Amino acid sequence: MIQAKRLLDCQTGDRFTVSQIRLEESLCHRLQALGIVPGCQIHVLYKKRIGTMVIRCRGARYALGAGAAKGIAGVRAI
Amino acid sequence: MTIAFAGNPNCGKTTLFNAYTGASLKVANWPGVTVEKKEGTYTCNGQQHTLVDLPGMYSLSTYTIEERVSRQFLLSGAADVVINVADASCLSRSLYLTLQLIEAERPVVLALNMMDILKKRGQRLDLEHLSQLLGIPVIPVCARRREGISALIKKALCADTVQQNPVPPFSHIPAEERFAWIEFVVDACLTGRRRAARTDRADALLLHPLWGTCIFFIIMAAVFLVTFSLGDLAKAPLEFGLDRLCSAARQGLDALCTTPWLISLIVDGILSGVGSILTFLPNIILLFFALSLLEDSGYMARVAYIMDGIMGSLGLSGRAFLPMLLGMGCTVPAVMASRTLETRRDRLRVILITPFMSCSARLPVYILLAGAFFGKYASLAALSMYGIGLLTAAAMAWFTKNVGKKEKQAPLVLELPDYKAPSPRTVILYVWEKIRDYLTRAGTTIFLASILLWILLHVGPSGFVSSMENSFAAWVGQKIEPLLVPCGLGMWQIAVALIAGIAAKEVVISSLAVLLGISNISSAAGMDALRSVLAAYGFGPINAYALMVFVLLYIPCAAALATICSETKSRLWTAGAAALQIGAAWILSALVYQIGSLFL
Repeated sequence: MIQAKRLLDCQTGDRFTVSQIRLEESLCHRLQALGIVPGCQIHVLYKKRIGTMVIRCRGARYALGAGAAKGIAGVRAI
Repeated sequence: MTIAFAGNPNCGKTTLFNAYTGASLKVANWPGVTVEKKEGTYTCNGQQHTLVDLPGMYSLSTYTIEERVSRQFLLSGAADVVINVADASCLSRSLYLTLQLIEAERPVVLALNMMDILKKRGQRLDLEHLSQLLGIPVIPVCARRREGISALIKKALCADTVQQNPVPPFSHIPAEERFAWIEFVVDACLTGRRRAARTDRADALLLHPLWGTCIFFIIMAAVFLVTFSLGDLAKAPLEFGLDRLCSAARQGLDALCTTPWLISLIVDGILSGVGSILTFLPNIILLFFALSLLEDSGYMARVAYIMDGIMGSLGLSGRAFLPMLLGMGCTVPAVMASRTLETRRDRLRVILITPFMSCSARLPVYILLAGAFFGKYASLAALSMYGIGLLTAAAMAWFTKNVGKKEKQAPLVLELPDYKAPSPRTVILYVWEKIRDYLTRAGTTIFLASILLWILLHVGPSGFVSSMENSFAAWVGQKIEPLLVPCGLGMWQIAVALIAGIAAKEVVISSLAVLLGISNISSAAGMDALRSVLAAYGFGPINAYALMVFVLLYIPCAAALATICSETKSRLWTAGAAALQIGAAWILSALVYQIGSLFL
C-alpha cells in the first residue's frame, strides 16, 4: 500500500520517495545540492517527538529539522 | 600557479592543505570547521605554487556566508586548477558539485578521499571508469594517512595543460536529471553491497530520544569533572616548580644587589603574575584534549540533532548550538563559527549569546576561587558555572526571540558524518595549538598586563608610592568599587582585577596575585593565603561565588570583542553586546550575593 504524505509524518524506519519540495528557495537549493530532489528515496533512521529526524539519502546521513521535513512531500512505502 | 581545494564540507580539504603546506589549520570530523579562505605555498622543482583552502560547499548555489566565500573565489577565475576533494563514501552527493565545477570551465582534478571507509563497507570503486565517464583525472587519496598526495599534486600541476573531455552539458538541466546521471555513473563504477556500519549501531544509542540527551549531558559533565580533578593532580609539580623559581629568583637578585623595586617587579609582578597562569596548563590541556576527541569522533554534529528541540524553543536551530559548544573552548572561533548559520538574525543572536558560554580562559579563575573557598565541593562549584553560563545564554536567546524584524526560522539541515577513531595527529595538533595559544598569551598579554599593573600599583600622582592604596590603579579601583558593593565585590582590588581581566580572563588571577601580594597563588598555601587575605575584608564563599559568576558573564576578552566587531561589522552593536555582558554579570552576581546572604 502506498500513502501520499509529508516526510514529517513518517516514523522511524519508514522509507519515503520524494515527489515535491515546497520550501523557501534557498533551502530548496540546499536540499537539492544534498541530493534530496523529487524521485529520491529517503530512509527515516530516527525521529524525535518534535519532528526533527535523522534520514539517510544517497548513502549519507542528515539531521533534518521539522521545518524542512514538513515541506517535503512524497509517498511512504509500507 | 594557484590551486584551490574545493569540495563538500568535512571531506578532508584542510587535511590535504595541511599536508602540502605544512600548515596546522584546525581539522575535525564535523561539517563547517573551516569558515575562512586560507592560503599557503607549495614548492615543487623550485617553483612556488599558491594553494587555497576553501570552506566546504555542497553546490555553487550558496546557502551560508562561508559558502559564498568559496563560490566567489571559484567563479572569479583566480584558481588555475581546482582540486575537487570528494568523500568516496558519499559519492553521489559529492559528484553534484564536481559537475558544477567542471561546468565552470576550470581544469578540475577529482581527489577521492576516504577510500578506506568504502573498503570497510565492502565496496569497490572503478577509478579508471569514473575518470572516463567524468572526463577528468581521478586520484585516490587518504588525506589522514597522507597517501596518494604526491600523485595528486603532480596531476594538478599538469592539469591545466591536459585536454579534459566535457561531460554531458548540464547547465540548464534540472537537479533530478543531474542526479539521475550521477546515479548512472555511480552504479557503473561502484560495486559491492553496503554493510551496516558501526555508526548505525552507535547512533541507535547516542541519538535515542531520551538516552541521547542524557548521554550528552553526562559526557559534558564528565569532560569538565576530569578537567578539574585530573588537572589538579598534574598541577602540583608545576606549583612546586614555580615556588622554587620565585625563591631562587629573589635570592639571586638579592645576591646581585638589585634594587628592591626591580626585585619586586620581577618576582611579585612578572613571576607571580605569569607563573600563576602557567600552573593551570594541565587543566587547559585536559579540556582541549576532551573537546578534540568529541570533535574528531563525529559526535559534535550529533549534538545539533540532540539539541534541536531545546534550541527550537529558543527560536534557533540545533546547528546554533555548535558555536555555543565551541565557546566552551574559546569565544573567538565560536563567534566566527556563527557564519555557518543561514540568516543574519540567527547569526547576530548567536554572536550575542555565545560569549556567555564559559571559555577555557575562565577555567583557572573558577579553579582558584572554588579551590580556595569551597573545599571538597570545589569541582561542583566550578561545574555549576558552566550550567549558569548555558542558562544565561538560553535566557538571552529567549529574550531576543521576539526582538527585531521577525524572520522565518531556518530549520536544521546538517550532515552527520560517520564516527571514526580520533586521529592522534589531529588531536595532538589541536591540543598543541591550544597550548601554544595559551603560552603565547601568557608571554604577551598576561606578561604585559602584569608589568603594567605592577607599575600602576606602584606609581601614583606623587610618583613612586610605598603603599598600593595611593597608586593610580587604586584610584581607578576606588571609583568603581561602590558599583560592585551590591554584588559583594566592593573591594578596589577586585575592581582593578576585573578591569585588567578584559585583556584576557586569566589576567584576573595574575592581577589578584599581584594586588594581594600572594606569590604562587594557585598552590595550596597560596589559596589559603588568598582566603585569609580576602576574609580580612569580609569576603567569604558567597562573595567568591558572586565573583565567579561576574567573571563568567562579563566581557570575555578584548580579542572576543574585536571578533564580534569584525563579524557584525558594527561598533555600535559590539558596544551594545559588551554593555549587555557587563549588565548581565552585574545583575546575576548581585542576585547571587543578595539571595545567598539571606541564607548564609
